[in-house]
Amino acid sequence: MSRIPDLQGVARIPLREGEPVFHAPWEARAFAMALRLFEQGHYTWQEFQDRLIVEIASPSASVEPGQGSSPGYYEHWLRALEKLLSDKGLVMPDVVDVRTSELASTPAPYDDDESGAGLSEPHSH
Amino acid sequence: MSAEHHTAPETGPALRVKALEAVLREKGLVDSRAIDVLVETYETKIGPKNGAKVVARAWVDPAYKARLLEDATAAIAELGFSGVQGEDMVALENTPDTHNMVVCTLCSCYPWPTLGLPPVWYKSAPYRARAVSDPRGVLREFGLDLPDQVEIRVWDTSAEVRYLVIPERPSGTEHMSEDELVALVTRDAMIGVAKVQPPARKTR
Repeated sequence: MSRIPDLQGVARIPLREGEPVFHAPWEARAFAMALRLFEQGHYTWQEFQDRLIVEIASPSASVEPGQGSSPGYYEHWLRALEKLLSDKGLVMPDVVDVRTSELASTPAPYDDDESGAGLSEPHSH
Repeated sequence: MSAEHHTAPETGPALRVKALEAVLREKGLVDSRAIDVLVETYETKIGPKNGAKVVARAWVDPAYKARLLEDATAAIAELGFSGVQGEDMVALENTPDTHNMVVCTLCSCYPWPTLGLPPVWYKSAPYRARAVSDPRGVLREFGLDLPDQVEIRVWDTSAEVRYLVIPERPSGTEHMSEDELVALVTRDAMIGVAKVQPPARKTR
């Protein structure tokens, strides 16, 4: 009974108790990569944030409901990071495209050796 | 990207992030272990407990509270909390007459060193829009129905400034130690969408 039933098109705020910081390992990796590259001086936080704001405001940034409880946010984050890396000439999008395709067609070995806990994809909900 | 692959979760952002990390690693731009450390830090070490320590200290130490209101960044750093998204902090004191609440209308700016990463609702479009247009309605949705005479101030977090709300110390806590007070202070109270409840009435 704590929720207001219907507010004539006013979107409800997605309140939730005890939610995790990240809803999937990839969200955490995307977050930390953006932060790490900033810490190393590859860009200012403002430069990243400007692109994040653009992504969040983008009309094509459609919210996909039911995807955890964090619809879209880290997808905006990832697009902002990729855009910034491209603008800075650090990583071109086609390079990521190619690597993504390669990973899609071969099982990725790097989960097992390279990185620590929390990286493996969740198998159950 | 092809639309045909949208149903399989592993082909979406998870795979692209993996690819991006691999490319960055090969270019020598990121070290995966450094990424692991950051993830662990933000998942387990940095969170609203830090902010709660700041608030509890302000409640028990008037001199500290004065410093906090004067220069929040420095006062928060006294307790060891500083870093990204905490460079320019402002502390906002709630009183019986004035209630402060914080939003980031453009994206998701938030004081990481004191509160950790923002909850989903804080990043959501409804909160970002309605905190400004209908703060009273938003607070009611959070279960906080403020009397009409209480002035609500909404602070839009900008690129430079991050806010920490100092909630009112609840009555009936005069006997409590600083550590006990820390446990009462919630994240939502430090964003300004809740009050700190006295211990006898805690319902969660």
